[in-house]
Amino acid sequence: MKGAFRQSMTWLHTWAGLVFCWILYFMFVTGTVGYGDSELDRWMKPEQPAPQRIGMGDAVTMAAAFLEREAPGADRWFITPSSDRNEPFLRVFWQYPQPAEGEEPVEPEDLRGSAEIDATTGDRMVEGRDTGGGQVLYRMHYILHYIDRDIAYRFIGVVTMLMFVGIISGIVVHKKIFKDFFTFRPSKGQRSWLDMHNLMSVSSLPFQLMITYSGLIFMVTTWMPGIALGSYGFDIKRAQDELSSIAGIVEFERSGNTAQLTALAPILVDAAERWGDDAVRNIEIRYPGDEASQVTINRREGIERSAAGLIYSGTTGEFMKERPPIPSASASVALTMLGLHEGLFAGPVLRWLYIFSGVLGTAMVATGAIYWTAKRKKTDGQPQGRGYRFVEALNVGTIMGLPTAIAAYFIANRLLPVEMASRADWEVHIMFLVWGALLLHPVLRPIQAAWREQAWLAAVAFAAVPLVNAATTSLHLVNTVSSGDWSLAAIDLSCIALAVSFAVVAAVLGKSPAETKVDAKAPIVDALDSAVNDETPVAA
Amino acid sequence: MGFIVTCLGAIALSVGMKRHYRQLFHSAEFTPRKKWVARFTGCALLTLGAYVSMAESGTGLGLTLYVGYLNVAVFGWALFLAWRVSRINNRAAP
Amino acid sequence: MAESKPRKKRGEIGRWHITSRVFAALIPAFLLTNTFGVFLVLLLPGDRLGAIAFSTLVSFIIYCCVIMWIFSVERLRTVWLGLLAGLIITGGGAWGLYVLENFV
Repeated sequence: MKGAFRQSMTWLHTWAGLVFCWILYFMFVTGTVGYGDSELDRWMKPEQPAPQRIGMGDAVTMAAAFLEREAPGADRWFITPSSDRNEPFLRVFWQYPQPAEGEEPVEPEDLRGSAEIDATTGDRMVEGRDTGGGQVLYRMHYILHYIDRDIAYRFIGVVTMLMFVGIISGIVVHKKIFKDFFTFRPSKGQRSWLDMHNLMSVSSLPFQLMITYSGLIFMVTTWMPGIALGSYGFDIKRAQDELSSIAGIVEFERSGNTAQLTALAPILVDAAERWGDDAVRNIEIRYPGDEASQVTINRREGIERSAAGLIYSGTTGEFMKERPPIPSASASVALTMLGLHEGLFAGPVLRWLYIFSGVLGTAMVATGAIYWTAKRKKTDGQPQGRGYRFVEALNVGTIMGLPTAIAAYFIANRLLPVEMASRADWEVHIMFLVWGALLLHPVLRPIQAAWREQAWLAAVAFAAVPLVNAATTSLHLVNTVSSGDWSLAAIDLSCIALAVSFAVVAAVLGKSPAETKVDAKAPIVDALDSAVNDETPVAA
Repeated sequence: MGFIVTCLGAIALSVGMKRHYRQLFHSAEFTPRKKWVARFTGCALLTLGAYVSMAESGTGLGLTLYVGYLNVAVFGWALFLAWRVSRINNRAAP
Repeated sequence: MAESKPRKKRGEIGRWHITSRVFAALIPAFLLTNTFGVFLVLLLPGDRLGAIAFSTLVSFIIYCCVIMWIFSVERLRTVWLGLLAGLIITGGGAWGLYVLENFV
């Protein structure tokens, strides 16, 4: 009975894992890269100045003057002062009211605007080259590309659920989860792939569980609205009213009378007294220039995405009330999960740990997919089935091809002419063109050769990134390292590290028939293993 | 500090498992006493690692860091053990 | 997972079984998760919003368990009868509680 259960779970683990594993790999790669999104943004906009830190009071005054000029009469202003890696520059956002009934309708995009402000001039940051930056790459993690956003988002939800089923069934299936805790036996063909898959999954299991489960929590409103709605008898209006009361947001109207907006700097001083220094994330101004205007100071997020805020009058600057953080324990668990998933709070050490866990997750998916083929390989010289060839080709083209495509995205950022039309789009087109070509390549070549060639190609592509960077900009390694700009240097250095890793992989793949060669020397380890599996102690 | 303690914990734990004990000291004998001492030390150090991390960086952040440390420690140590086995084999092979 | 035994048994059961189970996992199991979730919300005492948050958080775990159950049961009939029973009990229960709460 127990055996049958495990067998069925093995089946479930295999197929839930395999069916969308290439999308999952794509999500892991782009998500891992996404932990360096702000750094990549900077790398891909070399014309921009270094991050600017200015005092909170000066920043808001400068931003308010800018918004006064650029967005008078807006419904909302958002001011985000520069702080850490997430906010290298002072940033503003504004939104105009919907046109009244009978007036000409306006596209939603035209009602909004945003700008980064250069602290030295108080005006818009130099635009520089047109690029998607790290953000476009990161957004592919949850809305893919070239596909309608909503559909893609829903689809990502399905893939995440499969990943969740894969993890849970994987835990159930793994017989010797503790015994094999530290075990990796290289050069043993199929066994090694399984060892590697297990080792990566088990050592990063807390991360994988967290990232998948919190990924699902992002999907709550998309995929699981039924529970909340059902609890109110599918009375959507009532459900909305009750649920928005969680956020503690109270809607109010314009008064219609103009009034000068109060000075913002004193409000920040007051907020610092209540919360301590460095606790402010951003400032929201509702109906600036109106008598009823309000200023809300939002608290910076820790691990938990907090919703706490301080509300002030927009005309007198008087403190009105505090908006408390989310009350319910379950909701705060959910928010903590979301915060953990995004890791915005992570400093450099934790950020690298996140990236490390992300890389392990990526490799976990890759080794799982390779194990599938390794296990099903026909050794009796019979031709492989069509499905097998399909999986094999997709494995090469995705596992090796996608990283190369991302390197191509970086190179395109440096090499496409700066004045080119829709340049940012072409960066992405180039990435997908390269990937497409690399998906085709393993169909045309023998599979072992395809692995080897693509590994070399990936190594060359990543090695080229810092070189092209040095040839086209002054932000190359010599300069970034000597000026101590480690967040930019880290990108070049990571590319070099990736190039070396892929070169090692390629060299190992080149040494075929490696398996048989090492197997000849293996008996000692085998003896060791069998001695261990035997519970009786063996005298040396 | 938290990272070092966590690494030591992972190492001690692996010494408490026969297969890995033999990979490390393949000539010495593996007695039940050694096994339990190593396992106990490993667990104690791993717990201590969590406490040290939390003391260093606060409860929430410390725990998050600790899970990351654990991940690196276990994975890195497993790779080291694999490398060590291949060296033993190479030396033994004619 | 460690062994590479060929899973003959499942191969013999054939494609129809798998299609049927996949379908069961996609739609009825998802519905069951929702009805169960609503039932749970209405059962839990105290703060309604907290109950909704809790029930929604747990729903993904429930869904995962239901899927695993669907693929572990040997007989197809058990799968479908089980799902039907679950839907009737949780859906009916939720409806009953809702009526009790709002109209009685």
